[in-house]
Amino acid sequence: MEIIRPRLTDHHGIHKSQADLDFAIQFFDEDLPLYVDPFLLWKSPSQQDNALHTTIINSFNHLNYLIKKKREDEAVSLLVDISECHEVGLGVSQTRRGTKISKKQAKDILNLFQDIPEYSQFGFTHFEIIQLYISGISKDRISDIACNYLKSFLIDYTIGQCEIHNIPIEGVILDSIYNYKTNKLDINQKVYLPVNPKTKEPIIFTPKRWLRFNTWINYEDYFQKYCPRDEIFNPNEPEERVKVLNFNRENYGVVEGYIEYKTKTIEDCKNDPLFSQIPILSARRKLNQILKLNTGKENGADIKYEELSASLLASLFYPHLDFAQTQSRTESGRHIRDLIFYNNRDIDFLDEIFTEYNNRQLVIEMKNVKEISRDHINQLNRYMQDNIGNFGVFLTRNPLSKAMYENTINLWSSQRKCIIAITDEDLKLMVEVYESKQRTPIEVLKKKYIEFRRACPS
Amino acid sequence: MSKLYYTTEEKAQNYDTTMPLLEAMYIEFKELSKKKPDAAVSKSKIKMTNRLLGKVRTVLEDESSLEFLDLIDEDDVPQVSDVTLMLSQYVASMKKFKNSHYGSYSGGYGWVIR
Repeated sequence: MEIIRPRLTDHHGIHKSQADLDFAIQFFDEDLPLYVDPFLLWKSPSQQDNALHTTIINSFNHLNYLIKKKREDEAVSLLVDISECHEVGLGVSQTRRGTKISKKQAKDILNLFQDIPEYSQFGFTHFEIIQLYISGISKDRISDIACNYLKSFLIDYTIGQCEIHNIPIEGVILDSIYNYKTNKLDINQKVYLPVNPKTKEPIIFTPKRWLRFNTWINYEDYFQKYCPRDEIFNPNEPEERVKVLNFNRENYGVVEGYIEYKTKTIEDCKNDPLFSQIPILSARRKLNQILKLNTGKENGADIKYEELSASLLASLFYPHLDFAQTQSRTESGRHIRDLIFYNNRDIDFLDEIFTEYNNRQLVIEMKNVKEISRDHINQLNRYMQDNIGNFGVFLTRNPLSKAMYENTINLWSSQRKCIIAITDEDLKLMVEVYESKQRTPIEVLKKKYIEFRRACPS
Repeated sequence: MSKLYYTTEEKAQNYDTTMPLLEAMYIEFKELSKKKPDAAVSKSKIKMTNRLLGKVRTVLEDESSLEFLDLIDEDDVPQVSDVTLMLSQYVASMKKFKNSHYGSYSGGYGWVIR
C-alpha cells in the first residue's frame, strides 16, 4: 500500500514535521489553503522581506508607466500572464491548476491607474487594495501575482531549502519568470527545482512566515469593519458588492482611510500556521462529549466518535505527528475509519516504530464498540503492511479483554506486529497532560507501547 | 537491652543530609496531590525526585523494606498521587531506619556506629 496523501518530504524520506521546516510542505495532489500576503512582507522586520515588497509594488506600478506610454496591450498581456502561479501550490484548487484572469478583468485593473488620479500620479503602496475596486479579484489572485513577481527569488529560496534538507532537484523548463530589470517575462527558462514525482511538474516553496488564510487587506474585512454602508445603500436595499466597489472608486479617501486603519493595527497581522491546535477548553469539551457517547452505532454515535476523536488527537499529537487525513475504507461490508499521521521520527518512540516496524505513517483505527473482537484485530492486522508498517493503534472505548490482549501479544510473538489500544482512560490522561503541560500527550501513547512490550515474551 | 544495632558512619551522614529533603518533597507532593491527584508529573520533577531517592536508597540498602521501594519510571507517566504514595513509603522506611540505629546506647546518645 502506498503512503496516504503523500507530501514532498515523505516521498523523499525526509522526516521533518511542518513545525521544523521554514517552508510550507506541499501536497502532490492538491493546493494548500493558504495565500502569500504581501502585507506580511511589508510588515516583516527583515529588510530582505521589505525589499521584496518594494519589488512587488514597483513592478506593479510599472504597469502604470506602460499605460502612460500608450503601451496598454503590453500591460494587459503582462498582467494576464502573471495572474496565475501554479508551481507554489497555494489556493483551493483540487488539481493544482488554476486559470488566468480574462483580458477584460486585466483592463479593469489597469483602468484604476486612469480612473483614480492618486494612483495615476503616485502609484499603489499596497496593491492588494485592487480587491476593493474590482469584482472577481480576491486573495488567491493577489497571492499569485505576488508570487509571480517574486518567482526568481522563490526559485533561489527553494533551491536553498532543498540543499539544506537534501531534497532532490532536477532541470525543468518554467513557462515564464518575471524579470525585474526589464519588467518583462522571460519565457521558457531552464531552472533546477524539485518536481512532483507523478506529474513531473516543478514545485516552488514559499516561506511559512508569508502565509495567511486571507490577506490582511481584504474585501470582507473592509466591508464588515470599515465600509460606510449607510452611505452606499438605501434602507432595505440588498447589499450588493458591485455597489461597494463603485463607491470605492469614487471615494479614494475612504479606501485610503481603511489602509491607514489596517496599518495602525499592524501588530495583529500574523502569519497563520498550517495547523493550529484546538484550545485546551475545547479539548476538554470534546473529551467530555466522547465520554458521554454510547458505544455502537445508535444515533450516529460511531460517526460522532470518529469526528470528535479525529480533531482531538490531531491536536494532542501536534507537533510530533502531522495529521494526514481521516480515511474511509470498506471491508466486509463494514465502514471503517482511520486516522492517519505522518511519522516524523522526531522523538525516540516514533523513531523506534519507524526502525522496528517500518511505520512511515501511523494508523489509528477508531472503533466505537464495547469490546474489540478477534475480527477487529484481524482487520487491523491485514491492514498493517508495507508503508503503513507493523505498528497499529486502536482507539476504542474499553481496555482489551484478557483474551484479546493475549491475542495481540501472540501476534507480536509470531509476526512482530504490534497492536495497542488507547481507551477512554488514556484519552483522559492525554487531555490531562495537554491541559497541565507537564508532559506531552504522545508520551501516553509511548507508555501504552512500553506496557505492551513488557507483557511480551522477551 | 536496647533493640538498637549498628550502622555505618557514611549511612548516618547520608541520612542526616537526605531526610530533611525527602520530608520537604513529601510535603510538597502531598499538597499537590490534594489539589489534583491525577495530574501527570513533569519529567524534570521526576528527575529531581529520582536523584534524591537514589541517595536515600543507599541509606536503606541493607534494610528489608527496600524490596518494596522503587524508583519512578518516567515512561509510565506517573500521576502525582503515585509519586506521593511512593514518597510516603520512603519516609516510613527512613523513620524505621532511624528508630533502629539512633538512640542512647553505652557510648552516649546518637547514631549507633561501630
